[in-house]
Amino acid sequence: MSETLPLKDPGFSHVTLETLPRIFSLREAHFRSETEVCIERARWITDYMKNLRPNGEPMIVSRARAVNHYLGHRDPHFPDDNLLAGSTTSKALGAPLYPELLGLMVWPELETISERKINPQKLSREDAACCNLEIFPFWMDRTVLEVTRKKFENPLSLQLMEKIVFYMNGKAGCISHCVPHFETALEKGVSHIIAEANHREKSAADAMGKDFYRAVQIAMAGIIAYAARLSEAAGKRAETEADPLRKKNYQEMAEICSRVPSKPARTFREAVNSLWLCQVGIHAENINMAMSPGRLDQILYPWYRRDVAEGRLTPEEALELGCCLWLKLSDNTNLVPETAEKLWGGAGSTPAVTLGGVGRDGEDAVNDLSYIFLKVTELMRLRDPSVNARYHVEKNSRAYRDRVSEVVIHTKAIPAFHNDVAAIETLMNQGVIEADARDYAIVGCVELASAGRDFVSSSSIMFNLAAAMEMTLKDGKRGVTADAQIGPRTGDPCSFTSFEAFWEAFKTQLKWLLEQAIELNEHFGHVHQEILPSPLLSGLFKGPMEKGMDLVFGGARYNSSGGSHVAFPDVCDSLNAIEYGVFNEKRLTMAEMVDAMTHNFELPGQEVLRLWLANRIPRFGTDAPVAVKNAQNLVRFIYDVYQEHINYRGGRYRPAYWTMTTHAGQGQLAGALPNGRKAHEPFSSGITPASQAAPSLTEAFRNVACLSGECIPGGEALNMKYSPLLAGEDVGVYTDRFGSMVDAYFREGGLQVQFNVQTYERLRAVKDNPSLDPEMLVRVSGYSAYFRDLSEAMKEELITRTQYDLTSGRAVPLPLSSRERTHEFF
Amino acid sequence: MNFFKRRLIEHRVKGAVSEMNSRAMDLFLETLLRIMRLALILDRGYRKNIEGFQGRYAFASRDGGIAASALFDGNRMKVKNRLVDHPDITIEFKDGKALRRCLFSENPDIIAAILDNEVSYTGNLNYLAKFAYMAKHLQLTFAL
Repeated sequence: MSETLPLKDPGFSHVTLETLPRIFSLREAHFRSETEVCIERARWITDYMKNLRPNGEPMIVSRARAVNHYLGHRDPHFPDDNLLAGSTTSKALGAPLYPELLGLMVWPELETISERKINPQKLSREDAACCNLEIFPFWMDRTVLEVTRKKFENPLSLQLMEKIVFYMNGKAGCISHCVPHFETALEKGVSHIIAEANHREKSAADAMGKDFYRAVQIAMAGIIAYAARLSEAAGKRAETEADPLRKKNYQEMAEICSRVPSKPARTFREAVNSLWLCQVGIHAENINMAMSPGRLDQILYPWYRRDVAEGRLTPEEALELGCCLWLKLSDNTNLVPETAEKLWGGAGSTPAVTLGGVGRDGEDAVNDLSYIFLKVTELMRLRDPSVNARYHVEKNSRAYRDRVSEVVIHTKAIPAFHNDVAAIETLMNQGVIEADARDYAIVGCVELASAGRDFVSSSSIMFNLAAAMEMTLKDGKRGVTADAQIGPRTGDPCSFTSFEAFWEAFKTQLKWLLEQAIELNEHFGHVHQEILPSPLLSGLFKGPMEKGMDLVFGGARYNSSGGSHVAFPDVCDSLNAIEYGVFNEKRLTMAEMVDAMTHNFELPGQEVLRLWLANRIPRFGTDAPVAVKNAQNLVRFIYDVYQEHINYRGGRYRPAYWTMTTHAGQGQLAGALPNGRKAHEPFSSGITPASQAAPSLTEAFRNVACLSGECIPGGEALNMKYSPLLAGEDVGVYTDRFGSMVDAYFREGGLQVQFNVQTYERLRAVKDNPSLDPEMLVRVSGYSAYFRDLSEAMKEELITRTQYDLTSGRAVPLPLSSRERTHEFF
Repeated sequence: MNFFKRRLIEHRVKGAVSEMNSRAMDLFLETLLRIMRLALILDRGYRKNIEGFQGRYAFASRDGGIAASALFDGNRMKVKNRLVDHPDITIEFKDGKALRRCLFSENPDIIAAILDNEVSYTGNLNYLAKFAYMAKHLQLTFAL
């Protein structure tokens, strides 16, 4: 049951950043910080693997020892007056280097990365020299990518990934994208996990099990060693600190770190710091790619309730600690090569926090901490963590729904809404038991995982659906890869006499390409088992300790791999264009369509054709029967292909539709499509109807919701843009309308929705003059970003995304100037 | 290395780097490899890049008109005007201009060159990344 609210004002209207001077100052400093490359981890991990690792040591033990070696030597870093001890890197805002993954991609840029034009990341000359001469040479033949290439003899599936324009596989760059289980560490302490592993090691049946339990103990001891170093350093600082407030904080941190995470947390502050130190430990082992803390309002509530009841804590103090945690979760970002910044720039590390929803018993789980963390989100307006509000239309209160809506309206972007009813159903359909499904949390952007039990590896594949469309139109080739025969020959499309024939050819190309991506994921998975076991993360998960098996071998209670898809709306509309324009209406022949694609609608007469396609065909997001049918068929087909495959950990593949910024990046690399989209224009984001395609808000919602949630077990990102509240408009009415629309969409079956509360004009103005709102936060496609950091193409996509008037429910026409500017840009 | 020797080396390498900007693109690869080899002989700091490094690079233009190899072993660099067997990486490029854009322009960009179908490779990508760093360093240190 929902806890009775002792909060007089769940919106904490008396609290502002000005009433929290520490947070105000920390937040200001955060926004002033420049990103710096941190090589501390890479140096210590390389030192162990290169100089200290004994011959023949099992890799799982080596990985644990390397992590322990790093954590045990880390510089205790107190960059500011945050109430929580511990940091991901040695920098105020660090981009840590993971050489075993894709860290070596920045090698050519070591001497220029500090000064590059797009999102520079500072790197000292000494650290650059250390990378060049000591760290990188050791890893040249040992990265996930190169071990895979050698082990599987440079398979076609890998060659296709390296073309970038077909699909990308996340495993080359991370083991991540999951929600760990922190409860045991907080309630019983990391020492308890070590003791349990020690006990289980003695009775393990085989060497693999014994090595696993030994590795868990070694890796976990690293976190305790790091906490001890923090405690000692904080104590020393307390001795010499003159400022009484700061001195007190050091004393408290020294005391807290002498206890947690080794022992059970006794107070709310200890619990928050314990969780954060476990998260730091996880980053010591694995890169932060959506390593998501999960349901913080549920995990931390027992300590909050006890402290408040016993008078040790006020809600306002908990709120301040929440702000400190948000800043800590923002203390790192990813190290990104320049081209990747150009194509996909602006992404953070996307640790997702999940609030609200129902509990394992199926009842309302919203509590005081849900409201406190909502207020934290509203105050901080940070890119990370990515905040997600679960909402059960039957069980959660309208007050909660409206408060979430208010926070979205105030921040203009966050949090995202997730539909509990649909999410729980889709997880149960994947074999997750009901109580575990109810306890789901969001991973990274929008992906669903039973918290702490489900190793979803949700970014295993990022697949470009437009590639399959182009290959169908070119008999297995793509414009961007010139004459290379990529896919199977499915015939000259001009010879197709029906849409059904085209659809069959398209399915053949799509299935073939999906299976290449799946094959490569399997190869990477096997290489992870060989070189990247993750005993620390496994120790913070449900399943591995019971099974005596690392996560990468299938130790988790539930296992799956996620594949997300770029250009879904564009491909749906392209199918509609071919069915309606070529075969039904016979407005053009297939030969004319192929010719227009080949020439990017630039030959005489083709612009007229393009305008007809862009404006007259049935579009995804409308009630047109052709559009509804093709979208449903495509989602079903993709689901069926994935579900045929069992991954290397014994789990199924789960399709999803979120795109981060890849829809803009992949769009820049793709040719024209039958829906009238010209070459190099961004694709539509996530599962969002194309810009200006769906004039009615309710129709757009209804036609996304009508896609079977069962077929989208990985999650979806529906990106909606609303006109902001007008001057003089009633706030209560606007908020109610906002919440009611979410309600209606969820009752139709929609899985997720996120918002930008902005106008075309405002976004355009801030693009032209970033100083108007340098901290402008936007929802991209699943996650949040600072508008200023995004690529040109991504900014344009956000500007031209359909803006809906919430009162009329109609699309606001895109200003002519925006259309012209879009064409100028491309 | 004393000051005068250093200045002499710099003068010679700078001259060669400058020459690369004016020479016909077909000679870009040959010139780059020659300068790299010269710099490795003369500059101890630069030579650290290949201490203990073993690597075999093969370069070929798509039309077959240009072929060369760079071999790193024993703290030395050797250049061959043919493709060697068993390279760690083979870099195939559209033409000399494409290779120069990839390795020696103001903003060298391997990924962009791959995306534009100007450069492709077979083998270990990290070897290309290392080579690109060495080329960039040469450019930054010695460009006029």
